[in-house]
Amino acid sequence: MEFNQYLVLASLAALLIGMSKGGLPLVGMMSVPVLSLVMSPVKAAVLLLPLFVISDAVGIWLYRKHYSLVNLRILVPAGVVGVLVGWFTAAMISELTIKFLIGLVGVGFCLQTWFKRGQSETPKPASLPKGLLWGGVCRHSNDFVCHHQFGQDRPVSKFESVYRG
Amino acid sequence: VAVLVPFALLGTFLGAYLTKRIADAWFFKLVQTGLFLLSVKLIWDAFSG
Repeated sequence: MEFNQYLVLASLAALLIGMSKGGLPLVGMMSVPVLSLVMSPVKAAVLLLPLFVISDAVGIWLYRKHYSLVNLRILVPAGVVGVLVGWFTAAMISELTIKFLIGLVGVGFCLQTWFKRGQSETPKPASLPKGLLWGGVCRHSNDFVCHHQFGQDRPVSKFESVYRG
Repeated sequence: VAVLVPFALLGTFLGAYLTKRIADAWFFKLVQTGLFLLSVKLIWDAFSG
């Protein structure tokens, strides 16, 4: 691994994380996969975690007047459980398996987004079961799948950066 | 990590700026295409590694 290559990709990943917290949530999905090209996905997540925390703080401040309390009440507890499950299971899974899973979720997300029929532009009401399930999955799997699966079919918006972490 | 912090902060403000000024549909198709290609590469690496 060339140092320069690593630095360029790490800087790009940091920029993507920041942009996701600034209102372009889909961009952040690429940060861990980008770094996973040159290092272990687990190490990539560990390296980027402090950046997620810092950019979260800035993102929350930027959108401090725009949030959905209903969604937060569902997603925060679910997210805490997801983090704990991820913490317990991370050491049990091999690096190649994690790479495969990240790739699989990414491909699945894109295919689902491209080929799902009947997507509505009107947000559906918050769903407690779906919110708990996908909120937990999001935090466990580092934010890959919840947007459309969450079930509200909302268009991606700047508000999402606040409650999607 | 300290080296990367300015990039993350810059990106946050860049994201907030772009949100107000670009067409979502075009941008997200671009991002989804990038994510798809990255994901295929990771699956390939997992099988070949």
